[in-house]
Amino acid sequence: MSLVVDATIARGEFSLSVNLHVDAGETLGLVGRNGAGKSTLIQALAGLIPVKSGSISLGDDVWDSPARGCFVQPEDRHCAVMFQDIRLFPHMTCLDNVAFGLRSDGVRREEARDRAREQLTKVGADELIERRASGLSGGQAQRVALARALALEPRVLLLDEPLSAVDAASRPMLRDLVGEALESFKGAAIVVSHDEADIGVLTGVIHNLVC
Amino acid sequence: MTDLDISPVHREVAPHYTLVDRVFRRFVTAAALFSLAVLALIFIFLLQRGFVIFRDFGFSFITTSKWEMIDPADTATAVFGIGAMLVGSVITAAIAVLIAVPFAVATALFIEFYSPRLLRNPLTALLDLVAAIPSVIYGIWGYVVLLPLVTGWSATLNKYLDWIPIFSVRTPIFGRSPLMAGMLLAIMILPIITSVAREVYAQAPRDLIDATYALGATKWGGIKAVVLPFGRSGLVGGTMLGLGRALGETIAVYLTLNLVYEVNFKILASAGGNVASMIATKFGEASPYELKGLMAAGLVLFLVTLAVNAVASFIVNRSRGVV
Amino acid sequence: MNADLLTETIPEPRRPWDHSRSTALRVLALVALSGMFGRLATSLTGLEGLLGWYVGFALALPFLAFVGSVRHGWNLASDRIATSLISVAFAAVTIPWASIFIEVGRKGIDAFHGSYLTSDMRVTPSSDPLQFGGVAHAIVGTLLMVLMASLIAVPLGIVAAIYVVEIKGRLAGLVRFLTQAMSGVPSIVAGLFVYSTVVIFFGGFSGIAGALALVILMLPTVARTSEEVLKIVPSELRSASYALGATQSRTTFKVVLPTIASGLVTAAVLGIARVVGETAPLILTASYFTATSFKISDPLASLPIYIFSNLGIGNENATARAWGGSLVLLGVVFVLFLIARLIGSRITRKK
Repeated sequence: MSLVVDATIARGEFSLSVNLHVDAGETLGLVGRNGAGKSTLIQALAGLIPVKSGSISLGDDVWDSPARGCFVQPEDRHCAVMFQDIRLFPHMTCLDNVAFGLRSDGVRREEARDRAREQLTKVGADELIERRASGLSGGQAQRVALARALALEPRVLLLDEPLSAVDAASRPMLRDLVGEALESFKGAAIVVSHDEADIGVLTGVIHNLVC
Repeated sequence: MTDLDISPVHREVAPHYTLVDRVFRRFVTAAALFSLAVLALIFIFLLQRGFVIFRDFGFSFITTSKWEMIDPADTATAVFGIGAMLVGSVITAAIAVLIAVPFAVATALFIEFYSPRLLRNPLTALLDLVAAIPSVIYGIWGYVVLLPLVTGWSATLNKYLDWIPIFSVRTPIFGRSPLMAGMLLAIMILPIITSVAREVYAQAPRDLIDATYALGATKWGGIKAVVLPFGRSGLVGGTMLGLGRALGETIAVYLTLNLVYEVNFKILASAGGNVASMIATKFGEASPYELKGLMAAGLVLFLVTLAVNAVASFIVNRSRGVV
Repeated sequence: MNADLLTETIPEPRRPWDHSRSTALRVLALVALSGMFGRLATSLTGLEGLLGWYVGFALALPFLAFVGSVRHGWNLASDRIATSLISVAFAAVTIPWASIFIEVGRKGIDAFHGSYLTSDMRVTPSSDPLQFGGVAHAIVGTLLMVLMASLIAVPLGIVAAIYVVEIKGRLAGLVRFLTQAMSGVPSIVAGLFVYSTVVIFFGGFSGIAGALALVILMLPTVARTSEEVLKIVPSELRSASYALGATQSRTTFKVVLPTIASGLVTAAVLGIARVVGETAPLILTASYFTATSFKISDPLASLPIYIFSNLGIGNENATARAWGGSLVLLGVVFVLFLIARLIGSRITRKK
């Protein structure tokens, strides 16, 4: 089931044409300078903004195609995003943050919490489970955000600058963690970054975003 | 040349205070403190005029529920206590808050998240306008339009829920009851609570709401996870502001609640009152000694509402500061 | 991937920003069905009229929304219930608002006649037919007292704001906090205070006393609004003025205040709108007078008390007069509000 994007995305004055194809189990790396439209692309894929023309589809499943009058709601795309600015909900514990997506998907509370706990342990954040998300360091928050994205068992995984908020010391460790996560991930994954070195370690295929 | 220190020194651009400036600052400070002095003067004068009452009746002025002076010339025949009125103030204000808060939350959410974008500004303006309607207009509308309706509803409530103590009555006379006054107060304080709530909801971080959608949440899921927790303290503050207004309202309560000097928890019964409306009622034909009693009652009301409002503005300010 | 399996899992695609026809149809069907339930409620139970219909409608809508969506799971169902509850509650809130505007307009217009705004009640008892008498005395009294109150409260309020924003004195936090707390002083307490000082001291009710009571209620509104407006002035403007060697007083008077002059007018207008309908404090200070009078040291009429006292008399014509006065008062508030809005929108556009 491959993710196929052939679309023009417009946001105000800014417009971006993308043509890409990611197979299941594959990870695509996108490198681009600031302002090249990386985050805009992520938002279009997640369904937070519509495309202007063209289409986004996963397998036979058309997500967004103005020509055909199709738009699948973000909640129905089963696509998990790890945002550049992390966006953990500050008033919830880390466990509740990770469980949130599962609960939105209709999973019962106990089960959601169990799966969230499991996922947090997998990313090595088991000591953070009961902590509130507001007091975390950059690296810790990034781990929880990764767990939150993976816990959904999404069909598509989108990582927006996964290492940007991390201090230099914990960078190698987190890079390994994200690398492992991507390796074992079965769906299509896209990683965007401004840092070619990071992308090189994390993914096989690299595209340059130019505008 | 080397011993000459010419490294630049960081300097704030700041005013230099000339004589004119010092006079200006003194003057402004004095004028600003004048408004503080007003608060202090209210306290001092009401205390001074009402002191005799506190001395004569002591704590029973607050706990007892009798207001009579058989011989206006003889202070020994006077019995003053505002217990029932204080209870009445609290009951009517509590009814108002209980009714108004859920509707205020819904209205704020509707304006901010559910209404068409084009309607958002007009609705906010309407909210401000409704908040500015004078209480005497709410009063006349409540007295003429709402009262007959509430009388009917009260009879129905009483018919079916008689077994719940607060809905029972001794004599089946409904109408100018605590429920009626409370409902009118609810309508009056709703715009106040709503506009504070709307303001804090509008500040809820957009990117976190987007994050909930990206994680598969519905609109309500996003609101429940981000907007409501974010706006909680703002809502509490707005509610306290509304509570303060409801506790101190005079005219609307005067018109829609029968003044009876007894502690009445039966909210459908046509009996009750609040401190403010009692002052307005008794003021006209009060003897000098009774006037002192009214001053004392005013002082109690002043302190209660001041405390409520101080807490409210503290909470609202804190919620505005935290983003 | 099996194509058959996929078509089953594809959810109905829809655009959230332009409502698709199916969504519109769903909502329409829901509303129509709930409307019928409302009709049913009025015919089966004791509920009556439009309000009774609305109660039935408001109960049916969330219930039907739930029934219609529960097969898609609790998440969607809770979203639909929340949407319908919030919409229903909002609509319920607008019912009393609409009722107030409509009743005041409809009942108020009955009291109007050719010279309603220009004649007073000096020789007209309240029970007289409606073509006699008017509200001129109340309008004049209200104008006089509000004008006097503004002359005191507006400068004081602005100065308090200047103290908090420009001078940032040691007591700035306290001044700010207490002006806010002051906005919660019950109006009757303000009246009692002025009664216990001014009225007792001068030995009688007067327009001056009424104006002073209004000052106490007006001051916090003016101070708060001015403060918000002063904060809009960019600090670069002040720095620029200081850098040119201007003193603080010069900066304040020549640079800061002129920049936000219209904002200060808004503050004054909002303050006036706050007190123009105050009733309780005037009962205790200005009392009431049936003739048009400009003597501010004597009792003075006012619109709110004109309404209040006519309502208290209780006969049909007096009540009609009370509604007439309400219409005039509501009109005044509305005009003040429009002025504040117009000036306010000009500021934000400039910004």
